Amino acid sequence: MQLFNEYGRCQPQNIQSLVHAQSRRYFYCEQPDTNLDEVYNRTTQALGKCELSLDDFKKQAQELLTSLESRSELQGILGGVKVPFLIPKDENLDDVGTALEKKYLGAVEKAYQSFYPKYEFKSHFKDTLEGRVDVKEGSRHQTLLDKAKKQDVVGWYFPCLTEYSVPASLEQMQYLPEDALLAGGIDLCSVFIGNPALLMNKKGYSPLLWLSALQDKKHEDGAFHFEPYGYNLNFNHRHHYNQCAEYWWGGLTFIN
Amino acid sequence: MSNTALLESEKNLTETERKKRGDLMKRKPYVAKKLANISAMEARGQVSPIIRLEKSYLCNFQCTHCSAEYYMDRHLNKTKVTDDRTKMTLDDVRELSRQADELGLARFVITGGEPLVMRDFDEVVAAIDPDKHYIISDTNGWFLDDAKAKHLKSIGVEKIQLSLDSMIEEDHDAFRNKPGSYKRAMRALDAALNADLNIILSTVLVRGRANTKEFLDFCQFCTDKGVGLYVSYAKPTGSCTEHPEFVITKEDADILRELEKEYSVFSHMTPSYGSYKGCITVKGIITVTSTNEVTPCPYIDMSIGNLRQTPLKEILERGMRNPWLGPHRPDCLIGEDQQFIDLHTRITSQYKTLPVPWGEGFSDSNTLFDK
Repeated sequence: MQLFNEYGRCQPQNIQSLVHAQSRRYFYCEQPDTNLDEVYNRTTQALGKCELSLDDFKKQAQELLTSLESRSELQGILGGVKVPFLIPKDENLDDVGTALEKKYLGAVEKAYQSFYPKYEFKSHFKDTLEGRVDVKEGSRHQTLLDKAKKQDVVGWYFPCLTEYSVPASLEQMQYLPEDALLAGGIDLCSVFIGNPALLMNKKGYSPLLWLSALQDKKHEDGAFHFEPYGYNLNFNHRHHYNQCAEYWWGGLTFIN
Repeated sequence: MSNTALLESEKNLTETERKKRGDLMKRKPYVAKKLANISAMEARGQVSPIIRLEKSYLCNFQCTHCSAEYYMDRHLNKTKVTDDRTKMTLDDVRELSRQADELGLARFVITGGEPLVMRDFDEVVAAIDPDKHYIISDTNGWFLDDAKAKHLKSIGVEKIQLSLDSMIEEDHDAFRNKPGSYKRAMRALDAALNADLNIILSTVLVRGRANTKEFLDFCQFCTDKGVGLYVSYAKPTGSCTEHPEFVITKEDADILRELEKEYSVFSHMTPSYGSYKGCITVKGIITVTSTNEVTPCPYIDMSIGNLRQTPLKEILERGMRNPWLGPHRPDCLIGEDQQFIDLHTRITSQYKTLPVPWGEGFSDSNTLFDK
């Protein structure tokens, strides 16, 4: 079986956790405008300067996409939504919760507000994230964090784990190529900073996107997510109880 | 209930809500504690639906958009259908109250029909037990004057949901097919406030209304009055089956979401007190019909079980494992998901009495690909 179908959905392999075998594609993301100049500018405005120049970023993003396109095992993934992102080098990533709380969520707010002055980004999570978040073993997300501590990271995000429970996303990783990383916190924040329109959908409903690679240390079945509320974007936490829903999606990132 | 859970539940309350809870705690501590426990229950993955009780469908109105029209005697008489199903008794209400309390459920809405024309309204309130449950009554306001409002408060009703379909008197009366109904609703609003009953106004959002001056005026009126405006989307069921043009678009729902920022207006999809349930089927609401059937939402005419045959706990579990009803979703299943709307219309149209029994509409073999 192909790993990805024509719509870019990662097809569940032989996994035990809950996932929909088929999707009626009721919830959907519109492909946002992936203007790399704008992604770069928004990111550097919200997260600060990076060592990569605009040209370097564009070149690396394009090369990465071309290399993904050429791989037979990834055939189909580009049929879905794909979003470029940039994470400027950040040495303070030992505690992801702190990084999200002190820097990245605020940057998402700034970028969203600037792109949509009439609408708002809100974090509805009232507790502190400090010390609250772990990286899940098997998610390969630590690879992204380790790299981001040393250098600017260029990547593409694919919200392709559609209608997977959070544990199913993790389980699916064993069937995916080694360089496919389960999306977590700072990558998803960077995705929204560069592409604030990702979940904006005026005709239908966009999905909720889990930070599937991150474990809530306080609640085994708790996880964090972004979701739209009308024209607004929310960050929140919810208990997922290992269930799956049409509305609940995870995603993969590939980095340079 | 632990102190932590109590604190968690208080965190998202407004000052006014906190005051109301404080007052309830003095008068009805058992009910107040159950209400405060709802967010902790949800955090444990338990559901805490409001129970809408439709013991009688008698009504003095004949509204254009009535979702209960097909349950009413006048409709059954018109279509020459004899309904020989077993009807709900006060003992059924007592048993439901007991089971609900055992599950930690805390809220009942007496609805109909028009509850205030029910001859046994007071007995129903007593059977639910106001010391165990927070009791709300729907009404069109026709019979709610000062004396009636004081009486309702005295027998243990805590809150009124008063329906009003337009801030324009002629439009409301026309929609309700009842001249004078706007004036009576306004009188009822003041009567409820005077009697110290909690009150929200409820109104139906039909396509395009969210963008009108009338609707903005309505939102402003409620905000100025300090009264919440509960907005129910028009659904293609009941009398509305003949008005598909009433069914809202995503744009209507999004305009409403924007208005929530400025006005005291909300729908069943609005996050409340830190709870983000989305569509509230089973998770946030159930309806018990006059034949003891449990439906997952006031507008879905397919049963998930009959309380004479199956305990409430099991019925709720059934609902939650149903792929249409259980999973979290941000939109309104019966108001916005066209595939489900078509499925519902096709199935319910084959039945002379509603709701469609468990196993014939909803069942454990449902899939999202049912057509």
